[in-house]
Amino acid sequence: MQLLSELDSLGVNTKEGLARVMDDESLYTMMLDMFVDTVQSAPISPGEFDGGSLEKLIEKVHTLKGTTGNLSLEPLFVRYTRSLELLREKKPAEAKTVFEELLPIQEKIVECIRKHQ
Amino acid sequence: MELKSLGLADDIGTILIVDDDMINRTILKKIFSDAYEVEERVNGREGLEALLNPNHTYCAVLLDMIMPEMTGIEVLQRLSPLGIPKQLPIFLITAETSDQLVRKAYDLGVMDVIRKPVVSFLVRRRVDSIIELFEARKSLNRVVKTQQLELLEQASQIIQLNRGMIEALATAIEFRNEESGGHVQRISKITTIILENTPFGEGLSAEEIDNISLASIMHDVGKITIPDAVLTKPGRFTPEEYEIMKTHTSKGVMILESIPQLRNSGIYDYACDIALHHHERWDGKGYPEGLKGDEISPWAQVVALADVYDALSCKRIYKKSYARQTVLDMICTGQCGVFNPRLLECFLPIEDQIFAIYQTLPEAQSD
Repeated sequence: MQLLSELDSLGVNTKEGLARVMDDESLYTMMLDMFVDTVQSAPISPGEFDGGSLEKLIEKVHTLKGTTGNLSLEPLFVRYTRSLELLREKKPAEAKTVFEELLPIQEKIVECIRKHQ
Repeated sequence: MELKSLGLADDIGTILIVDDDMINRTILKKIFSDAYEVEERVNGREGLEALLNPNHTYCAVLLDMIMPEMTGIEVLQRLSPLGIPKQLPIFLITAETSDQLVRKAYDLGVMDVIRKPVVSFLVRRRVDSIIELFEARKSLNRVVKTQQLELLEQASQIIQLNRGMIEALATAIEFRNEESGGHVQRISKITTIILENTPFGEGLSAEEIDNISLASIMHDVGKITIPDAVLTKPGRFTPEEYEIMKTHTSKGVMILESIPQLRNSGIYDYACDIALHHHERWDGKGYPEGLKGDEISPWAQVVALADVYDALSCKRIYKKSYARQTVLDMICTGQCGVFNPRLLECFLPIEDQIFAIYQTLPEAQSD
């Protein structure tokens, strides 16, 4: 499947992600679509790290950390995890740096998934 | 599937997934739906409500940690005092890894803490194993309960059989005496009425009264040793015959002592005491030992009174039956030997209940 090999080239561990859903490719693909919907319907902007509710931001980052972990979107999962840790340590500026680092990677992964929808 | 091989699959129930994240629920459902029914709840409050429903059929719960409205830990804090985690395996699914949190979850009774993102094979194995364990335990408990009920039923049947055999033996002896066989039953009933309904039975448990009542049936068991010529003699006994007749008390004890099974039962001591002393009298003029006053046990006193009341109320080979008032006068004036005044005080107010036994009895109709 071309989508999966393209995702692999972006650092996604599709083998592990598929194993998590008992190698059900259609379910995995459906869940990738759900990830895209989540990112697009409730996007996190870098500005949210500069002020506003830290609690709400933590909630959003926590959700995306969970989703990327479940789908084995490794490059994103690692960074969302780190960003969340920093937010919980009340270091939003450092968390923002990590978040900004992941945004272009996320953009490429989302684009890849959308291309195959 | 291992559960099926154990014969447990048919009634293993449903797995409840409580998680606010749809992707998490979808993954967990996918992992278990080939072998289990799966129900989903989207927050802690809904999960708690589902678990508090007494009619639920869940066999395991997969509980997320961080959720809106109520966290997994808060759900556990509500379930733990109710003992639910001991009856139903609950797995906390969490990305949080702090030792403090894991310890708190275990303290609240979770069966296991499973890290997110989950590894499907491991989750499935761990949950399956625990469900198997719980179901095997439940199954074992059911077997034990069934066996307990069967044993109780068998014990009850044995008790009934024993009672029936004792009654049959006592009745057989009465038939030798050319009586109808109802005498021993009535003695047992009167004994129960007095001990259950008057202060004379105070201090005796229901089981003790039951044992005394059964023991009273054997009060005349020694009569089996008395020759027919004496036992069925219509007229008065000669002094020699009377001496022979009196031996039915001590010989009764010898017979009871020769039944090993009886020795281990709760009625043995009562039965021996009653057989030996049911002809003793309060003033010491009874037999065989001439016991006096409180030297005679309360149950032997009660059976003695019941024996006299029945003998006077019914027609016998050597006498007619007496009218109710005559019976009471004879008892109260000591014409059949003196009874404990306190026993008579207890007996007279409830004599109505005893008399009712005789109202339709042919042998109790006075001439």
